[in-house]
Amino acid sequence: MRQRRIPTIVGLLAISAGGLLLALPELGGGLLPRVVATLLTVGVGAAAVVLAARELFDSDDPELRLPTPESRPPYRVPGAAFAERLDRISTVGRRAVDDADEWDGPRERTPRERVYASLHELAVDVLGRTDGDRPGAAADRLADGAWTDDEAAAAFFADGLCPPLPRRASLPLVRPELPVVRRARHAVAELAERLAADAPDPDSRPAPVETVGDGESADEYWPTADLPRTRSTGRTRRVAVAVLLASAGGVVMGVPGAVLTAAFGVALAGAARVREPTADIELTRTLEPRTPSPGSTVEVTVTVRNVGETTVPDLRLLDGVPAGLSVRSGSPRLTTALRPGTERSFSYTLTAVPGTHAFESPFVIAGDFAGARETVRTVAVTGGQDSLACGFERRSDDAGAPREQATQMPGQQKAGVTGSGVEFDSLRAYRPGDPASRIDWHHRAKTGDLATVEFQEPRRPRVAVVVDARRAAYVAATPGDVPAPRHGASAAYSIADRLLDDGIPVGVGTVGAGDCWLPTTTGEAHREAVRTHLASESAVPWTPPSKPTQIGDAVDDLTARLNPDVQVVVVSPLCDDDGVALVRQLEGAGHSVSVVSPDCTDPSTVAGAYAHLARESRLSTLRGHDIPVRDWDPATPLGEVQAHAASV
Amino acid sequence: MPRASDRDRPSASGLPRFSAGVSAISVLTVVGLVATDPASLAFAAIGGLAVGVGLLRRSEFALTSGVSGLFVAVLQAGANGSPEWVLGATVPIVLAWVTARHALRLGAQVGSAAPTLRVELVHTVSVVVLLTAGGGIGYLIYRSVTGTPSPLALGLLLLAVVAFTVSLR
Repeated sequence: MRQRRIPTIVGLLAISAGGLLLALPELGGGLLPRVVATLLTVGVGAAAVVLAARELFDSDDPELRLPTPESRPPYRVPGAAFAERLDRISTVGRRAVDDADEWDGPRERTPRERVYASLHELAVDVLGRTDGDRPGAAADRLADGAWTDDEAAAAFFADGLCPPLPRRASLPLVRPELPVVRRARHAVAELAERLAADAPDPDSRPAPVETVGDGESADEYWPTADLPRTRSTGRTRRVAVAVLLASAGGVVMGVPGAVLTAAFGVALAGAARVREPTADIELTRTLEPRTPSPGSTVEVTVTVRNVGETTVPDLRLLDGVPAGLSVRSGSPRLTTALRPGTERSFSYTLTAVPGTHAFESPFVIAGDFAGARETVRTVAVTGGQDSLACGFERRSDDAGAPREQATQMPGQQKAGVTGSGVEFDSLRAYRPGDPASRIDWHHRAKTGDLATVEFQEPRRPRVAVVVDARRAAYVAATPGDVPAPRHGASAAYSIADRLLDDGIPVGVGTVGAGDCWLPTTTGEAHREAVRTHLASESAVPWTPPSKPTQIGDAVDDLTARLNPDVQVVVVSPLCDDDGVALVRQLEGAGHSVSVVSPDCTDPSTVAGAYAHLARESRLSTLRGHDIPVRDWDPATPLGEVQAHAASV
Repeated sequence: MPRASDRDRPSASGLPRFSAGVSAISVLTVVGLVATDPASLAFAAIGGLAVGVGLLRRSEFALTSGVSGLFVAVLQAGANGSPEWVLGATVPIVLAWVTARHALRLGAQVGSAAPTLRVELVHTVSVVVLLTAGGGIGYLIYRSVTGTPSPLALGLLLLAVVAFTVSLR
């Protein structure tokens, strides 16, 4: 403040002296005032220009980082990596492939070589499954092009990586599609057709790939780190530059009008100093309905009330839509001006998806009258609801007939040891102390020796449901759709709910996101804990974890928590090879593993079809290792079969 | 299943119409005011185009350059005219600049999906009142001087302007 006082005093003195001189012009006569006046004008003018230059190169306050409440954080689409690789195929790679000779030593593979390698592997796998070809025979058929009628698809594997280029390709600024890319697309479409998937149209050129969420761009959903703060919009700085330049220029060039315009600038800059931009407001939010069913519409109404003493001239508000919900209609943003005591409401609708969604604190930006400064902060909602619960209900369809439960109670798993039980296992010589009820009297009558019957001991199985929430597992059919781990959380809950109904102890854990682990046990309190954890963001958040997960470490963590006899149900989209590695390593650690895999691929595009094929290939790899895999389309409710998959 | 492109289009795509309209009308007013002088008209036309580009492409640099062009056009047209004319012709320039910046900021923070008319009206009215008051006071001081003011008085007034600008920064 002290720094501002001196120039203010100087300004007041100068304006008083100037006014005096204007009123009494005879005071300014004579030689001395003339010299002083010239020096003063030149000096102040030069100082004004220097100050203006300094202001000009000064930087603005950092830009506001505002969230996008309308949509979920964007997720990767399965096959995005393949699409990107196709995009990166260029004539440069062609030269690199041409120039390659054995003297160069190892070099980095070009995009077209990588596409070839991954497609070749996939094609061998697909031919093996559809036609029963052995890998060698499949590779031969690919090499001679006999596997398909589509010439372009056949040529991709048969004619090498550098097909003749169209003439246009050598023109500058023209980027026609390279033949190798077209052939790769045809090959994917042909393979997809073989597996009876909805084959994509190979001749539709894909739109350029948007790189979504490959790390850097995946910001925090609700960035509140540097709030609250007051920032300048940068206007006062620009006004100051204009005033300094206009007045200095006007005096030097003798244009009084230019100097007069400085009055506008002083007025604009001065008004910004009059009052701090503040907003004393109160927020209320209502949700209708409060517990919607998945896919239905929820209407959100937010009311803003000015509870302060002064008018809020410029208020901007972003409601804190939970990360898992997306806006269907309307806008969760509001601008308004509020007199004291008045209020304003706005509403928008959301599409409900399963989960317990907690609303964030809304962003409030309050500007001043002149629009020179603004205060940014979050304001907690004081009235109404701040979370929305959808789905994750207890199964009510079949409440299990009592008789069925009676047979299930002894347990469905053989313990591998013998003793008392129901099912006959073997006969052994009597040992003193054996219970009399287990002596085989028929045997005694026949042979005269005492013998004891051994039964198979039943044991209750124990199950751990593990949701794959690694960074790579956060894929969705479209970038704004529900990501696979959230589908996984729904599936995990319905599996756990079913098993708990059967009296089987269930534990729940995640791989990747956070460190959620609920030990294997039973009971209503446990069921509620499972529901709370899986429905809310605490176990499987809506934003992907920032770091990739090391599969080895994750498996070590899990095996340290699980007894070897605990069966594991892994819920994973299997959209990368690490998902398969996770399942295989758990199996290797001695657990009996089964897999439920939500299918988040969209085979209607070439890249999506590639991801679909690669996922099918992973599923068949797992099935080849005798691991039961349930392929689940998240659009349909998870049937009862999954629960059985757990206890097989 | 709705495609991502339909649903997740960022809402910050449109500009608030009222502020953008005020800005455009102000620019046209300036162009009309300087239309008598060919050189000024050229400057004003280029400046007006730059303001339009700045609004459409959300480029602050184009906006500021355009407004500077308009100001140069007004100074050029009014160099030999009365200071009152320069003062009056500068009002739409400042208004165009301020409302355009406000429109850009609203567009970035709120987008066009939410209604913004109320805030825009309040902002435009307050800016017009401020400009009228500031310009009026400046003009009154200017008119209160009779005869030829002494150079020392002008120098002192320049010093006052600079000192106030520094203190208000």
